[in-house]
Amino acid sequence: MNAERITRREMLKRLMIAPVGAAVLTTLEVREASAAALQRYYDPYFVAVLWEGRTRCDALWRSLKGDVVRILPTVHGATPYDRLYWTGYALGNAPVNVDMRVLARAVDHNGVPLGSGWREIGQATIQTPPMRWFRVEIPEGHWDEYRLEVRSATPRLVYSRLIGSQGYWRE
Amino acid sequence: MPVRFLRNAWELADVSWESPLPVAVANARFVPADTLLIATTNLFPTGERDLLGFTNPDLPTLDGCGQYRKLLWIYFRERSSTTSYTIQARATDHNGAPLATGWLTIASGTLPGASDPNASYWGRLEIPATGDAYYDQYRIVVERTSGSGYSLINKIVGVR
Amino acid sequence: MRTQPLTLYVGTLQVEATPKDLLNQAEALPPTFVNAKRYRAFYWTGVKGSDAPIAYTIRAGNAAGWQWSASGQITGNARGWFRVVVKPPAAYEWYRFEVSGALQTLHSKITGIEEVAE
Repeated sequence: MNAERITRREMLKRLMIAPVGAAVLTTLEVREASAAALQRYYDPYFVAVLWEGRTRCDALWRSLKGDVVRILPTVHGATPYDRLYWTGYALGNAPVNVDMRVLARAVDHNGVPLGSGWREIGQATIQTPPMRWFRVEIPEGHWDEYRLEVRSATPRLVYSRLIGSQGYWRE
Repeated sequence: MPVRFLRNAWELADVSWESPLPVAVANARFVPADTLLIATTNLFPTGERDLLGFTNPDLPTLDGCGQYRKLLWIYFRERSSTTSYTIQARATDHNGAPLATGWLTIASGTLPGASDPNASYWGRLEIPATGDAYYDQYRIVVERTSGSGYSLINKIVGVR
Repeated sequence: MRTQPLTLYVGTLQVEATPKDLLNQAEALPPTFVNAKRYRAFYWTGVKGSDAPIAYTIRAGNAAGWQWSASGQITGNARGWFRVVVKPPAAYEWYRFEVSGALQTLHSKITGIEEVAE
């Protein structure tokens, strides 16, 4: 794989001109934005970055942290957040084709999971043209731990950030 | 020209992936979600019981919940035997006593599980499914109606 | 910004055919709550005393008069619990919770939801 090295300034320039690609989790109902005045809308009042880093995607399902150990979470202590956003950027000149899935579980007072395995919240395929940011909304919040896994037939380097938000629905 | 910031009050550091610019959110307060209950319900015997195993219909499962806009019932079931659930709620006066006996049923149904009745399953229910809660007491009742017995491990989180 | 619930009223009222508010005020003008501009929603939970329905009207306004109202019926069996959610379209200073119906005891609790700026 040829890794493209760009400066932070160059990345910001590309961000300003590039539209955002979006992927929607399947098997999960996603609320769409609406311009109707009386529609309920989500009003975030606290936002936090839960994780930020880079992931080398290959043919194996890997956590954003790079491990293939399925029992390990990507983030923990995520209980207060009612929704999460995963946004990132894949370097390279080829179109992005990265599979991702979101797993979640709860823990007891000692931090031990209530049971084995994970609840699969949904999965998506990021398919954006080169030099585009992507964003995935994870509307099922208030789980204690999340494991975000990615894989790609073609090895890719993905820079991404996982954001948690607290908010409420207004009318 | 790289962006730099003062780190640890004495050294100048370049902003990079390994050394991101520190950000403090000054205009919002973090509101934690509260763990209200962690309990295992024994569903090997049949018959209706609340998550704490009580069969007395007037005893609440949760009390002092008036501040929560919503409750989240997260559970891990060792088996997916058909299990019904009923969620009841009521208000209390200033002394914490219910306004009257009985309950308002706010939700009921079959507890979601795997298609294979012997498979384990992580589940989650919002209380209420739509709108806001703000009830003082809740009684969450479950009953295994068919299949093999199992343990239902529950966690309830209150969200303001 | 976050929400905060506050208990505004807990009490018992003898419902009669003549409309009156939860504070037993039969005159049409006196409010049940004043200084209520900060509440964006009200959650009215209670227990009715008989099978007969209870008609309610919730009025909102200020000292100059009532500007908004919503009406409905509380139905259900005797000793049955009910919940009425009130979300007025604007912030009003005064509210009046008025009920009428066949003679019965009504136990009520009203929680106001306030938005707190952080």
